[in-house]
Amino acid sequence: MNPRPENPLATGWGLVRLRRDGTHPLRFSGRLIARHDGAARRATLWHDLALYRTEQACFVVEIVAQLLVAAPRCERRIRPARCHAALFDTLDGALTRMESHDPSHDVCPGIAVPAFRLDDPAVPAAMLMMHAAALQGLCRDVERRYRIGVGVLLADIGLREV
Amino acid sequence: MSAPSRHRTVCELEDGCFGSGLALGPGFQWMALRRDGKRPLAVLARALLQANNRCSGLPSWSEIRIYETSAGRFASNLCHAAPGATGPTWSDAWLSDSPEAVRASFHGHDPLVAVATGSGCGDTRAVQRFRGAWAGLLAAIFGMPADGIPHDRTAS
Repeated sequence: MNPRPENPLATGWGLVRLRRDGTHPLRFSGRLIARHDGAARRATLWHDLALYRTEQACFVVEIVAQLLVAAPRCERRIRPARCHAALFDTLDGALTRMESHDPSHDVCPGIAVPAFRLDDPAVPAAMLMMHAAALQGLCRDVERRYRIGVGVLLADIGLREV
Repeated sequence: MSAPSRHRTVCELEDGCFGSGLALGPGFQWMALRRDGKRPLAVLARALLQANNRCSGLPSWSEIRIYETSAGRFASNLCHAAPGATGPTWSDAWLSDSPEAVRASFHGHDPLVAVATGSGCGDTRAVQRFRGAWAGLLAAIFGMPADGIPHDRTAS
């Protein structure tokens, strides 16, 4: 996640600032309830998830799509491709947001797959079909991993009070 | 463990889980059953059975747990896991009202939905072996379905 408190679980309450796409960061005073790091072997795009409680007894959901990108000298680095964060009055609202997020919306041309101009006659139809199939497989894997992430995060909290 | 508060838990609580006020038998405890993509199912329950088909050569194996809840229903928990994985690669839990509904719910499940791309289930023989192991697990627990036709979990 970007940026994160040093060690929110250890430090308890603190000021948290979460990046959001297309708008200003979400700032609040609160504490981290639970976090899930979705990185997996062979994955190029995954979701990191976090649930916070604010001092005003509201809840914040953070969903960050992380992308593994090739870097110079054959290195690889991770960068946040999509950052979602939202504040909710109720725990149920926060959980519903997490459950209803469509992770395939975080996969878009030019980020996880090559971008094409569909009207470019130089791009053969067979190549488009091949990349469409690859994109479909990528979306399926991203969705599957996201669902696992939500399940693991919430099961880790389990029956303890939030 | 004390009963969770409906407004302070991330779990979905079973309706009627706080019971009728009558004393419960031994072994009942609160548990949260993981469900991928949504909040866990919390039940006050005791274990009835646990079985898996873990063996070498399978790209993924399955585990079934069935519980009796304090409200008189059955909670089923199904997990699929890959060898070497730290936790299940797929998990779901649901409630059923009768033993017949429990059996039907498992027969309506295709274990391949839980298998990741590139997990070793890519060729036909691996798929057949995986599905065969799943059918074997169901037969060991429930026996063969009377009509031999898979049932839809949601229809039960």
